[in-house]
Amino acid sequence: MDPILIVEDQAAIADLIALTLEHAGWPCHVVCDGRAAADCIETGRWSLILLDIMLPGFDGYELKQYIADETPVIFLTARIAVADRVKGLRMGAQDYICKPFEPEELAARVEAVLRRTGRGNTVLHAFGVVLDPTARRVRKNGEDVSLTPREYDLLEVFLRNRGVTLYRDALFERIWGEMPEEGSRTLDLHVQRLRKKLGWHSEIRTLYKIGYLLEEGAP
Amino acid sequence: MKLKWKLSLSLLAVTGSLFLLGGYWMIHQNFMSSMDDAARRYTASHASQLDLVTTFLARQDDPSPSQAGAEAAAGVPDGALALADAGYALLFSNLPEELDKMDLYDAVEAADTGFVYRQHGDRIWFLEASALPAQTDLHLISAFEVTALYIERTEQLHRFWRIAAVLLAAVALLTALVSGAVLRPLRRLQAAAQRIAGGVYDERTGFVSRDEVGSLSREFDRMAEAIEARDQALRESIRQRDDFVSAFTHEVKTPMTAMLGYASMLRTREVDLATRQKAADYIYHESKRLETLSRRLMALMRLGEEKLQLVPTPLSGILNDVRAAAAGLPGVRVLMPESGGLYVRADRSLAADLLWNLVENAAHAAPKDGCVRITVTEQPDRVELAVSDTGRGIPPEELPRIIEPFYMVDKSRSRSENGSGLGLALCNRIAELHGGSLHFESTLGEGTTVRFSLEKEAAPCDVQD
Repeated sequence: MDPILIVEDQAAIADLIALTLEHAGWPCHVVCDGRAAADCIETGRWSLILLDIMLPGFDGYELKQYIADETPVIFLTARIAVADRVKGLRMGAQDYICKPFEPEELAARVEAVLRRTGRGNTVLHAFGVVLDPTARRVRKNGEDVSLTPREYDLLEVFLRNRGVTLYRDALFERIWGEMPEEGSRTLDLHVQRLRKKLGWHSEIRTLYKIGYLLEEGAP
Repeated sequence: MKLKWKLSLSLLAVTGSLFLLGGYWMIHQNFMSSMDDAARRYTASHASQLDLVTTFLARQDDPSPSQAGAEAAAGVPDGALALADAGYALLFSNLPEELDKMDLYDAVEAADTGFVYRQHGDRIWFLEASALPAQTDLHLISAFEVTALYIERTEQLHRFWRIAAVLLAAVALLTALVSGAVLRPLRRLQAAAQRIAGGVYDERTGFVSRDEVGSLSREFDRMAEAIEARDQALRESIRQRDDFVSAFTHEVKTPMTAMLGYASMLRTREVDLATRQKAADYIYHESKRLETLSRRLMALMRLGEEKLQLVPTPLSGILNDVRAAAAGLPGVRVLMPESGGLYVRADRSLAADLLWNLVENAAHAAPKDGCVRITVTEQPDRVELAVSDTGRGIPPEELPRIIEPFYMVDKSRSRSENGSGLGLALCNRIAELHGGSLHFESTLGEGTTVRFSLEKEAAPCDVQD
């Protein structure tokens, strides 16, 4: 897969984006100013370009015009005026992300764009389970597995973070959109049901009071 | 109705009626006087006819009134006459046929007082009657035709009507033209007002005349100028506010994004040590940046409201504060001047802040191992301080805006030099509170000089040595 080009002049944010996307499994390349970005756009092949709008050298809108139409572009900016967003999308950008953003949101948007444009890995695998985000379908050894929406979301998070410890509260918040109540067992119940439906008894490891972890290993 | 038509119609009505009345009156007077002339002439003719008749009758032994009448008619050929007895039987008559007995009767009735006019068809006669002195039962009645006078009057009137019609048409045309010319500036004024109301504020009338319309248009232009200036000021302040908001948003959102992003990463999953350290580092530095920004912003807002207590301060104190801070600047030499024992009216810490901020900016602009020079110039009632660097300079078109909050000469807003974008705005505010402002002089590639001044204060006696 071609790498993702990140054009962002603020090192802190550029690093954050790179860390997030690399964690999701996409190779990245970071440039900090408009001129370097123009060079990269000219010489390299990119599966996606993330463009900040306020840049030294050339600004994001100017750079967008350099970019071949078939390369998807996501604008990334602190400007939240509707007119700016409309301008960005009119210029043919696939998406428009406003700062500040959550890393997961960024990853999800990037994935959506990659999927829409037929790039990137479209399905997620682990231990004989295949999750197809486009169809929201899960199969195990070729047979459909029926999951509730929460279970599906939970499985997707696990598959996207293989071998990484996921903390309980953050995991809950991500799936349910709010902080869990004190002593809530909801998350554990869902993990139990997921284990049962997929036959994953040792694959999802419980870290007592910390969280869960999907083991790395065979796809 | 348009003012133009009102004006020309009323002018036309006044001149027209005066002219018509005057003309008519003149013709009438003329007619009356020719009638009087004629009456006098005919009265004289009547008297000579009477004379002839009387003489003839006195001469003859057997006087025949008809012969006397014929004699008189021959003697005075311009009129006709008749001799009538008491029963109005005509003893002689060469009167026109139109005059009947009633006319004669009227004439005789009026004999004591004068004469009468009688009209038959188109013709008019002057009739005068007198009793013969010798034979009072006989009356001599003279008739003179005056139709010509009436005809002449009618002709005069007709001529006058024709002249009047032509004249009034000319007057109408002229008043229309004149009122059009008089009102043209008003129309232009109206058009200009409409355009200004439509948002074209640079519209001017530009009349040069000394009359009321001229001064109205001058006042109008002044008003338009005031409106334009006000409009520009308003636009400028809206632009500044928009720029401020958008820059402020950017300045806040950038650290926010980093902090939120790294914090979210750290609390979601386990990351390796290097990443964790990096994330914590970023969170720390970005919060510091946000903190500096908020502190500066608060300072700017506070300085915006406050009236400073300015006190006599030794310039050397301010310079020493800056000298102490400058010692920590890496790679840049700061050349300090002598204070010359001067005193200024200032808030010492703010004035030192101002000077130090300028020195720091200059140090950023200066090349490696460059130098920054502070100079002090004594003026009649102020002390000017200048900070010069030998750096890259500021493009002239940027100079007027660099004191705006968050305005960056380098549009990248790159924070490699870690400015908040509020430094110069603060400096300028402090300079203003000291009764001055910042003045920039810059040559691209050669360097920049910033000047500001403080009010000079007489040195207190007790510290003079």
